[in-house]
Amino acid sequence: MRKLILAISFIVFASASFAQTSYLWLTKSDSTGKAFRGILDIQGSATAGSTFLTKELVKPFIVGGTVTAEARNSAVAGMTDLGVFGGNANVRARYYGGRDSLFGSEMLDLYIQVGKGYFGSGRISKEAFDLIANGNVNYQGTRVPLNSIQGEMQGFQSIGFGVYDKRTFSSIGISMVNGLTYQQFSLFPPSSFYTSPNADTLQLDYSGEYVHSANPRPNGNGIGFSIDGEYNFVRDRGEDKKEVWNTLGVRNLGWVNWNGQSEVVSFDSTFTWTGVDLNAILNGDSLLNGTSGFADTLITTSRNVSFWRPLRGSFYVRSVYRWNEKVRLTAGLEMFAVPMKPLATVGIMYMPKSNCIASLNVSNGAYGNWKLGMGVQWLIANQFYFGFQTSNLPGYFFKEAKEISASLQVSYLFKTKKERQ
Amino acid sequence: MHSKICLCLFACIILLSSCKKEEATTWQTNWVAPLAHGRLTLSDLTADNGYTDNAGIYHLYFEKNISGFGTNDLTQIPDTNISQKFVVPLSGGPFQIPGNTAIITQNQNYSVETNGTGLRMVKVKSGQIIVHVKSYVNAYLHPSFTLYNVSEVYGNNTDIDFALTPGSAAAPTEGYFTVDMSNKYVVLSGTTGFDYNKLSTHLEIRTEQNTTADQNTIYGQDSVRFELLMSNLIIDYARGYFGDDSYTFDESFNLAEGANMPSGSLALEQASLGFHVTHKMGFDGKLKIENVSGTNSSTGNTVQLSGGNLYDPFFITRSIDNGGTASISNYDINLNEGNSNITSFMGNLPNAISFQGNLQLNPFGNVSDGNDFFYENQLTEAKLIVDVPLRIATSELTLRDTLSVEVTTDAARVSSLTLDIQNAFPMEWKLKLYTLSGVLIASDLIVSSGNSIDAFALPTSSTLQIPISELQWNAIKSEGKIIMQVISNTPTFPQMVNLYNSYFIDVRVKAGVVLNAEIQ
Repeated sequence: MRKLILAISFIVFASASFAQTSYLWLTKSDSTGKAFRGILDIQGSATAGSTFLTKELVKPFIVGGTVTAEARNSAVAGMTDLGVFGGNANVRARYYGGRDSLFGSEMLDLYIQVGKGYFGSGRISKEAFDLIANGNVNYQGTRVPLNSIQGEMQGFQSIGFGVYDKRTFSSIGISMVNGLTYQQFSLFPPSSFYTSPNADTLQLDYSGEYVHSANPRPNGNGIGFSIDGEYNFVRDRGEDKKEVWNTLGVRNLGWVNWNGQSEVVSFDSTFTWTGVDLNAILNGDSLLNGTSGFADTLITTSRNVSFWRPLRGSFYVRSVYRWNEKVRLTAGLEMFAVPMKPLATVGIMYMPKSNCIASLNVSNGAYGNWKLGMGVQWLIANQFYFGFQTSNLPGYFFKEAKEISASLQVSYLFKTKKERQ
Repeated sequence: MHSKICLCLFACIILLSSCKKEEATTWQTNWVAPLAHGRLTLSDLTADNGYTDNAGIYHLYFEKNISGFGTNDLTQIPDTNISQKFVVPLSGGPFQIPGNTAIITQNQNYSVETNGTGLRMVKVKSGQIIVHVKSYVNAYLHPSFTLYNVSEVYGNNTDIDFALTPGSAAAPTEGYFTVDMSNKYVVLSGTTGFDYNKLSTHLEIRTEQNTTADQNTIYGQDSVRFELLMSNLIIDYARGYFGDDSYTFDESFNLAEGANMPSGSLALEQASLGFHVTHKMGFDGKLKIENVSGTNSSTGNTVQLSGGNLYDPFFITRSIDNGGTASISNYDINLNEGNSNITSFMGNLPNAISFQGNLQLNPFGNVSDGNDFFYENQLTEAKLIVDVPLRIATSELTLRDTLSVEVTTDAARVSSLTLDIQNAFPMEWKLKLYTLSGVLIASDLIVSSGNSIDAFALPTSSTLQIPISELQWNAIKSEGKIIMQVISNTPTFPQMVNLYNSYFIDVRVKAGVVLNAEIQ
């Protein structure tokens, strides 16, 4: 039973982040750590979320179609000051070894893993988004700051190994990271867009930086490392096995050195448009000439540099409290190594059968604000594991939803000969 | 168990494949932006065809050169090929002729074609003379050819020498020499000095100096042929007798390039027209203007100018050649509202002027004894000058202009135009916009008359709102043009108002623009 509880607890952990392997594989294990010969674990997840971008607004960017004024105005109305948006897509395969011992300990063994991931995030102020989304009609006589506009996107591959404890799946590992692509766009003060009160002058101040790696290529544009680690421990309260499982972990914490073909493009100038001279029109120039002149005035400087950038790593803590035989209560907090709001989660887990779990959680942070998550896990024949999780269930049903995600995890346990017999 | 695994995989495939983008992402944003701005003054509105007098009143002033009397009208030396055969003055043969023996010597005056005029001397600006010699003589020959009085120094000669190997009737030997005639004087008065169009030459053909008699076997009647090709000769200066032919003028021209003449009723005062001839050529002439008329292409009305001594013939006296500079004599005909119908002529607002007349050269014959002259860069000019002080009264005076609107993108649509106008002119403007095909965009847009007092400009403000529907915009975009019609009315027509140079219209045009963003 203890193993079962341990397994269930890890299901919950895994379902929240899908960075860990379900402990259900250990349901056939014992304290000797010889319950299996290895576990192949494959995970994939994709998330897109925002504090202000609704599904109704984002959907046309994914499947095509018209972004309606209603959707844009709804997004603007839902913003307070600064809007955040982002997303990620990751896939990872990890193999937990099943040797008898490591470093003389039967409880330790190695794991190896490969992965590929993309993540991006950005932010924009309410006024700047309204300007871009709806135009300057409502901003006559107003200077809209644009220095809030920032965005970053990274893509990378990784390969690594680590040591894990067969009983608790506590682990520490390191990976070599192959940087595929890096893009960062930032506008600095005094970047702004000004429309004079009677709209006879438009002025664009643009000061900023566009940093990007060289074009994607198979052997990468940068190299680095990342660390993954987790410490799982239990506090047995001693009464009706109402123990609490706790987790401290780091995930994807690392840096990439992007190579010297990377480019930093800087721009700092002002473009003022007051219309064409009326006499030129009378002399035969086109009424709409001159509007294409902005590109000619865009003064940029660029230089090739090599630089370090952090991956979007995180630190996290989680706890699972065994309420009774079928119900668990969960809580967690994840903090990111990039400017993003911490993700706080509380949830409940229901186990109708010993090999089946349904979970529900409420969270706030990361790309978005409040969201309602749901997950299901299923252990089939004590050997094949399937799990599906979404961090925001309404994202699939309501056009006003601001986050949608899906995580999928499948694992296979290679049994010991003894077990097969 | 396998069926459950397959079910899971199928669900994954469905989920992952549901994100395929099938059409472009589009959205519309609404912008307002300045489109054009500027101050229009009378100078702008008349395409700089004007000036301001001491009282500050603006004058329309058009000065048009009627095409000058060109040198090609008088004379020219067309491309000419002169060919002549020279025969050895012997009979029988063969004769063994020792070296350096003259076998043909001859002076020759060649007639030069000059399009009917008699020239005694020209200075050539550019061109060339090609001398071609062809020998049918079985001897080493040294032909020497001299062009008398052809040189960059007046009175000097040009000598041309050839060295020809023995030739035959079947295979003559040839030589070429090209004389660059740039800046060369050519005297055409012949060997007498009193002829016209005669080019004097000298030819001497000798056997080659360092040859022996057995190398030069000559028969009587052997020949050498010379050709003289005058090519692209442009005259810089000419002297002679240019004849007494008559030349006809028939000119049509726009009165003011770039200025659109309006239609409607326009009352004018104190307009004037001048016809000015500046004579800088060395011949006498009798000039007669047959017709001057102006046509308003908008209305189709044509008014003939009349009055004064406009259609009386008048004589122009030859200039005097002061060694490179021709003296100048001026002849003027001035018409005003007192001696002509210039007011109604200009009131017709002509944009096309038609001018016919003729010029007879030397009506008294060759009184200069062949000393008519001209310099190519000092020609007689005729000029028409129109001066209209803008003291006007207008009634439904309509100005129409076509504005180019080249739109090459579907990404933007102009949904409205707003015109903020400050008008200092003492007249009301009515604005109408439509496309080339007649799709009406806006009409009856009123710009209020200014409150200016004399030269002190006091503008009034008007704001014109012009919504543009998608249908109208599509018409503008496909045709690329907008026709702007402005109808002008002075307050109490036909009472005159002065238009001062200080008057202006300030215009600011704003556009409401719908931007269609699209991401594929």
